[in-house]
Amino acid sequence: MSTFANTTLPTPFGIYDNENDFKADANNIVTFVKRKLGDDILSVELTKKQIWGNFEEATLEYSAILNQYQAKSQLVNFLGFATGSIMSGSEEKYIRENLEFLSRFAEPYAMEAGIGGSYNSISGSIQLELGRQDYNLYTELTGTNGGLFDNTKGKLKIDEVFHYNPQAAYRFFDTTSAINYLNNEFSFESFTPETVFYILPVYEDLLRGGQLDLSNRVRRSNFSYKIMGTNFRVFPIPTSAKKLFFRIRQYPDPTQPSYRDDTIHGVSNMNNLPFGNVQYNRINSIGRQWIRSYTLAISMEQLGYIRGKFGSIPVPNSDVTLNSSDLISNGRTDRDGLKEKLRELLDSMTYDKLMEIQSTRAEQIQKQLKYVPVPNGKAIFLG
Amino acid sequence: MARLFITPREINFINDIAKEVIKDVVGQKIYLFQISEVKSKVHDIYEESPDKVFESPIELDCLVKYNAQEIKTDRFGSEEYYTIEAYIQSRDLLDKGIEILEGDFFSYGSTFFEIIKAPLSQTIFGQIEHKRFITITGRQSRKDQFLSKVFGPTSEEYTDSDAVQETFVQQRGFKSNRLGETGDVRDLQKKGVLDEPISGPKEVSPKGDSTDAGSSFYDE
Repeated sequence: MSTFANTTLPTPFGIYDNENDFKADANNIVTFVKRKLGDDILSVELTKKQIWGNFEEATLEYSAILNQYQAKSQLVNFLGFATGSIMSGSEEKYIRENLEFLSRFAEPYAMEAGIGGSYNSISGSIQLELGRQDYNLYTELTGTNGGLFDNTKGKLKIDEVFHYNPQAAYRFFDTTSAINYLNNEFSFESFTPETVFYILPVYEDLLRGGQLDLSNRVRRSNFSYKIMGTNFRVFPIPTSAKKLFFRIRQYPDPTQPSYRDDTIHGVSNMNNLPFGNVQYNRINSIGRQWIRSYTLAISMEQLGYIRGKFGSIPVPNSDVTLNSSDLISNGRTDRDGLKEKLRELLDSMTYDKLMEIQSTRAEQIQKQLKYVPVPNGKAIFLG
Repeated sequence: MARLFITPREINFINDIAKEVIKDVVGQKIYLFQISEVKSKVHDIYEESPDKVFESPIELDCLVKYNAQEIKTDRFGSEEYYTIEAYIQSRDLLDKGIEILEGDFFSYGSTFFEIIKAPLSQTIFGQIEHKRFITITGRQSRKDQFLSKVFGPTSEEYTDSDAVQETFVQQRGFKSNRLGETGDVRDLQKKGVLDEPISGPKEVSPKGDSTDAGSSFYDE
């Protein structure tokens, strides 16, 4: 009598063929399935290899469903990390959480605010001409290697134009002291007797700053600019041929940030999660019983297809109709039912759901504790 | 049906199902008495054998169409005539190396019949090389023409030990069962497509009825 161990290629994929528990259960599953389908009395036209194939399929199905739910719970933590082959072994791990997913989402906002992001801005300049206010950013903005605009990257975005009034703070302490500007520029103000400190409330500083700023805008030639489409208009009208500097960005290529980022080629969805098949040896009794039942269900369906190849079988002087349709229908119902039940069960066990349950439980405990009498001497009762 | 769908494996499957129905479920049988051409003495001139010698009876599984007796009345009184049809699977006969010919005898119950017709009937899905069954038509033989020991089951009216069949044992492709040699061959098992059943042939017998009220299913 052939056994699983001494059969060549007992299963189609051979995924579990070397696992001892699987080998042992494979021999038993034949008896289980055949006996359930009535082989003790009348033949069950299934080969051992068919049943072993179904056993493997059931285990793989269990593994796939389990991994799907594991993916629901854990995908967010794996995003960007190294993808894995089928035997990568990250399945069934209780991994540590991280906020990489959220950080990545926040990056563009940080970039807009000028405090982070993954893309460098580019510096360039426009050569101002005497008396000319309007310049074309797309054609006249140049860097060290010529024009900056790259027409493959979409619209040009101006991050900063280095064209503004001197900061009012430079004039803050003493508007007439040139040395104060220099001390301020070189972070030396506290070490020179020229610096004059006043003991005043902070709001006085703020008000003074506002006053100076307003004074700069109203009484002096204001430094400003306008951007309209591709054109840049500078105010006031240039009185000398200077260079006007810019920091710009173009639409960032999401697959090529400014640094080498291998996480772009890492896990991006369920398909490349480094989850392999669940090892049979590690499946507990709950899972194994599901696998047995599922093996039986798909074996039943398979037997139905075998018996249903002919509408009726000729026997001497008559025909017999086999129970094909019953087998197919019952097998399918059982199979679908088992999957549905497993999914329902796992639905209630995703990490999100567990948090929800724990939260509800905590609330319920609080509610219950309200009714527990406080021991004497631990509380003051009024009334 | 197209040969594309009915290959020798399907033919084996069909034959095995038919054997299962006949041998493991229905359980009807006849006893065949074939004329021994070797032992029978043939007349030199007429080349006929007035005193035929028969081989030992062979138990054959089959489906039997039992017809009610026909009663003929003439000036000598009334007489009962039995005719019967039995359907025997061709593959089973082939496995056992039996060829049934007109002139052979068989018994069913307590009655002996002479085979008057034994044609091969029908092919399996139109494939000429695969016959389904033969239909043997038997006419009741006169007692002076053929007489042998009667094999049961015969009738509840009798008190012989085998008058009522209390034990039925399946064959299921095993060479022998509790009752002896079966001669049963299941082609899918023989060809290694299917394994043997997970347990041996089961039986319906008094062993299965602890109350001794009758036979019942027994599988231990």
